[in-house]
Amino acid sequence: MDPILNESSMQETSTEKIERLIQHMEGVIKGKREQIKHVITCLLAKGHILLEDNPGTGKTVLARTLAGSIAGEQAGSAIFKRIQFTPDLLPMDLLGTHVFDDHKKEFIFKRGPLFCNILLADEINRASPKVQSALLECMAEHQITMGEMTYKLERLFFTIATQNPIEMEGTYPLPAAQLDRFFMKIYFGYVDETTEMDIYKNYQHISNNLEHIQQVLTLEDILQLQQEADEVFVHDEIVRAVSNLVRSTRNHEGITLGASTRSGITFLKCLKARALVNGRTFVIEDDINDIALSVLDHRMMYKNKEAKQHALKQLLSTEMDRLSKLKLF
Amino acid sequence: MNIVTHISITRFLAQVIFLLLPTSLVAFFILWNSHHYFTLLQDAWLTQTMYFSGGMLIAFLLAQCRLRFLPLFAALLMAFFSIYKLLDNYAIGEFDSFFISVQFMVFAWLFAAGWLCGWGLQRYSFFPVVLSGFLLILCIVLIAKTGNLTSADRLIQYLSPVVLYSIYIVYTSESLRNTEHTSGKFWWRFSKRLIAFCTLLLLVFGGILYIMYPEISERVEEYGGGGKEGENQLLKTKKDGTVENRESMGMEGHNQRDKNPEPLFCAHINNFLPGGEIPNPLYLTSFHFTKFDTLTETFERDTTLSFSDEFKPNPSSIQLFSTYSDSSRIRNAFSSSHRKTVDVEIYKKRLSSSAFIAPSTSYWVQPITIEKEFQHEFSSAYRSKSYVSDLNSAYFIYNSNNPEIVQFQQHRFDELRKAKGYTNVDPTFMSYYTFFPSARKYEKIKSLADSLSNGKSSTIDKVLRIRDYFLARNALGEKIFSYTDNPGVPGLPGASKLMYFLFESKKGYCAYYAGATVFLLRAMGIPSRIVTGFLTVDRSDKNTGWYWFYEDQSHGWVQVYFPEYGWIDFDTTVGNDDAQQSPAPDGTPPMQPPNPVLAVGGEISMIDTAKKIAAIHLHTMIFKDVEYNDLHTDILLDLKVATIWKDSLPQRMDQLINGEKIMAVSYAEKLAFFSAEKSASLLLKKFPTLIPIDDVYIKSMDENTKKENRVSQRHERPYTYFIKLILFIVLGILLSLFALPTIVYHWYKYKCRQTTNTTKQAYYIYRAATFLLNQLQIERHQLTPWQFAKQVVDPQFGTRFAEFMLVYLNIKYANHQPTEKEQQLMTTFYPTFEATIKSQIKTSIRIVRFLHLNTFIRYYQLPEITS
Repeated sequence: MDPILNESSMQETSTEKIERLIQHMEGVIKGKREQIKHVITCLLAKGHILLEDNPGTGKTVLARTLAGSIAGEQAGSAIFKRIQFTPDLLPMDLLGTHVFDDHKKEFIFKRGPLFCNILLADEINRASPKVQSALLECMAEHQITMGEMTYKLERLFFTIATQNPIEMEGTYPLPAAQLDRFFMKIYFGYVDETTEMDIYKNYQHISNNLEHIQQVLTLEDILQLQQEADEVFVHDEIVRAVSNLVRSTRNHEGITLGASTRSGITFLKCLKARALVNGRTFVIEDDINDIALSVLDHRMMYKNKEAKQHALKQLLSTEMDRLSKLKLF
Repeated sequence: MNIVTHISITRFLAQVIFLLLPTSLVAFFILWNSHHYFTLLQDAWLTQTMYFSGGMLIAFLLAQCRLRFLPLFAALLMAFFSIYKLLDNYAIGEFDSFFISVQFMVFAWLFAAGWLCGWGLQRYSFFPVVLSGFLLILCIVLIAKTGNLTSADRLIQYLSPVVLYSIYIVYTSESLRNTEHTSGKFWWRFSKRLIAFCTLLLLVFGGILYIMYPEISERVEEYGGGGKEGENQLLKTKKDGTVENRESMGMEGHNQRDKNPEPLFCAHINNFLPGGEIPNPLYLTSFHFTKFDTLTETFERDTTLSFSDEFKPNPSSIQLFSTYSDSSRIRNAFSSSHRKTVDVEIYKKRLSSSAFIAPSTSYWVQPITIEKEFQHEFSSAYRSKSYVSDLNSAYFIYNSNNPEIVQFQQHRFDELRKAKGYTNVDPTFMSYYTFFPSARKYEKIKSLADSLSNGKSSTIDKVLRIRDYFLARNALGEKIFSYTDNPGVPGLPGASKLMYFLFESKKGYCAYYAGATVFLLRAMGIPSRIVTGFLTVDRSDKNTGWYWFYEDQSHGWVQVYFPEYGWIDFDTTVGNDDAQQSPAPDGTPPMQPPNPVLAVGGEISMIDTAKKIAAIHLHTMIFKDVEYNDLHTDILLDLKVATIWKDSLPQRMDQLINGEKIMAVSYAEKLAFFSAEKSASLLLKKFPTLIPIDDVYIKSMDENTKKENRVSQRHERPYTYFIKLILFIVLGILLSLFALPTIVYHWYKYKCRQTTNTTKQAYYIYRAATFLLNQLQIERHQLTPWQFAKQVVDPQFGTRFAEFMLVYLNIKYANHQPTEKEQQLMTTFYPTFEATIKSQIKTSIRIVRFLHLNTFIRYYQLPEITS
């Protein structure tokens, strides 16, 4: 099968490119359009995403599909690496290690799995905090420092981390500071009945599909889209809304730890990317509505369950109401 | 049981405020009311309310904490009882401690009652019903005990707080129970419902009271008054203290006749028996009652009657010395023989200045002045002329011992026997005045009338039979019919009072006798009517022709029509053995001013204070009681001996200014020589150029009348005016509230059309569209406007709302200048959008939904969060 890449794709608008990517991924992983959009938003915002849900809901498939859909510089497609996090995993298993080369009589750096375009960090909460922090540092810095040497990561480095719900045994919950580094945390959720029936009927094809994923976009395309996302127009009122929302979390009685300024910056980045994903070159209130919970929720610490359920929704709805009635003249 | 319950502070507070507080208030009200009757309570109702509330609050708190009620209550009662016994034992012989023990008992009872209330309200859902029932019974018992219900106001005052409380407490406790109290919006939701309910309750209650008030007050007056605070059924006292006749006459349980011992007025009736010096006093008529309302058993005026001979001018609105006459009244009286004109002068004391009374049939009135010495005693006066039958006499039942009067009575009966039958009388007239209600209950009267008229052919004999029927005595020589001002009412409400009087109680006051007589007469086919006014009593022979009138002389009697003789008075009310005396000896009658020979009215056109001559532009002239109108000549007046009057006070001549309206009066004898002429110009030619004038009245009459009218209007406006006003305001507010959504919607639309700025226009189109959708209950819930447009509105209605929204959002968040195409979309979008929506929702539904206020409010509210 030929890749669908051809000349015409160069003239495509960014919206069409994104739509193609989404549709393509939807073809593989069914009934998860919203989640796919979130993942792509994070990708375009140059961030990382955390997927949380029970095992077997398709988190890994999503990551692999994304990787497979992007034509990379080497080996035909983007470099996709997957690390299964376990309690005995060590940082060097991720970063790589210096190995003594008998021939050259020197230590050479053996690159770890982090040197890739798309990294699937499976069950991140099962690894020890040491490993977790090593990974998250790299995610933030986009580089690895080993001894005296500093190694740059790939130009496109996107981490999809998955974790099981905290309540499950044998997990090290991610500390708040580290959660903050993920642009979004989304819940995968089960698919609806018809979709599930559909999956059962065609389950053999899924593995086949995974093996023969068509590459719909190039790495360059993605980098260009990232650039475009950065240029999306943000109205002052949208900035104000983000600021209001972030600040109001700090004063809410049901929230013990509110959102940081970094989360506000992240929010804006995500908004821009989301606007592009939604096919616009300017941010509107709908973008806020779409991603606010995913961006902010995992950064909060709530007093009780009720607050967890309602507090953020309430703040968001107040802000949305303000925006929807806003007179900009 | 050791259950630790979760006590919600919100709920507890709400219960204290909405259940306990009103209960305390009602307890306060009942205690306050019972102080009128129970001296035991010692007028300390405020403290006693505190006892009750304290008991209630403590019990409520304890019940909230699920403490055991019965042992606690038993312990409490035991404690109270032993303390009381202790106090009581020590109290023997000592007043102070006795007082304390009584006080303690009151406290114990009230506290225990409060305790029970508090516990019940907390623990049992049915308790409010029991409580309100108990309170209502208590209230009724109190009303029965205190028994000073003299007006409807008192009844309403006693009963309505408890009634309102009963409904309120049942509703509120149920509503509190059913409102979810965990929600943050508890107070808002609950108080919203409560306010709506209370408003509705008050409106309904107030409405019922407003509509039913006259009936309630009638019933209360009839049954509750007990003759203590009744009213004079024939007179009414106006708010300014003056008195006039009522415009209808009902038959009530009691008649209060001697409220005020002051005379009402004094009259000079120039009527004497033929050929003698014996005065023949005539009854003074005020109103003719020709109709009968079967439902309320009330005799009423009929102002629409074409052949009415009732003459009802308002003397206070007629200029001094001006005359007002209506000779058609005489014609309508249908009399031709045995009539003469009688002059009557009325000097009013407490009688209303607008009231007019005169012997029937009157046709002429002239307000006159009162001599200076009597001005402080009498308020106003008028002269009137009546065309009176020779055969009329006040005395019919009240026999005078004067042989000449006895002879006159006999003479007039003989004369009236000559009267022809009714065959030639106008049939409309006949059928009107012999109208007899067809109700079955009056059939018994017909048979009585038949038995009375049996064997008598002439009208007067039939009338005499009726008189004799009322005067008849039984075998023991006792009177069968008697006079009473408190005849009572039949035991059955709604039973005919007339029938009750005629066949059962056989006692009553003038309204009963007159009413029964008219019924009997009409049953016999004799045209008759009731007239009210004043009974004339000749008490002294010092001043012949002068009569004094008191409130107890207000009276109703019967007039019977005799062909060719006209209407003749007959009074069939039997004598009152223990009344009919003047409360005070007659006063000195006012000095009668001489009759003015000439009175001229007009505007001053020239005044010469030095020569004391004035010229007036003449409007009216009255010469020897004949009035000449529409004059437009100037005449000269000689004011050398004239006194100038304004507001009954003498004035200097320089008070007369050009253009002022005056009435000049002359008593000069040299003018009296002239005889009246047909036209004024002829008369004026005879007069000297300078007409001698004795009195000049500056007319301030108009202003006075106006002021008086204004005052009486304000006084007569009852307090129901305020209820009307409040109802009107409430209605207005309600109407404007319901119109609010429509107004706001049209305002948005107006803004869309009016503005030229695209940003503004887009904004208002957006607002109008979302407002319309919201008001039509197409709910957005938590969708963003764009999602709403795309996912709900467009699929449902097939509109292009999402397309517009995209343009709008672009303008809004990207400062985008719309392209020509987008501009066109904006201008065409809204009309089509509105039309599409309207075509898919029925007009009736649209109208109803546009009245929904809560939908309207929701548009401006934060959307509710649903998880």
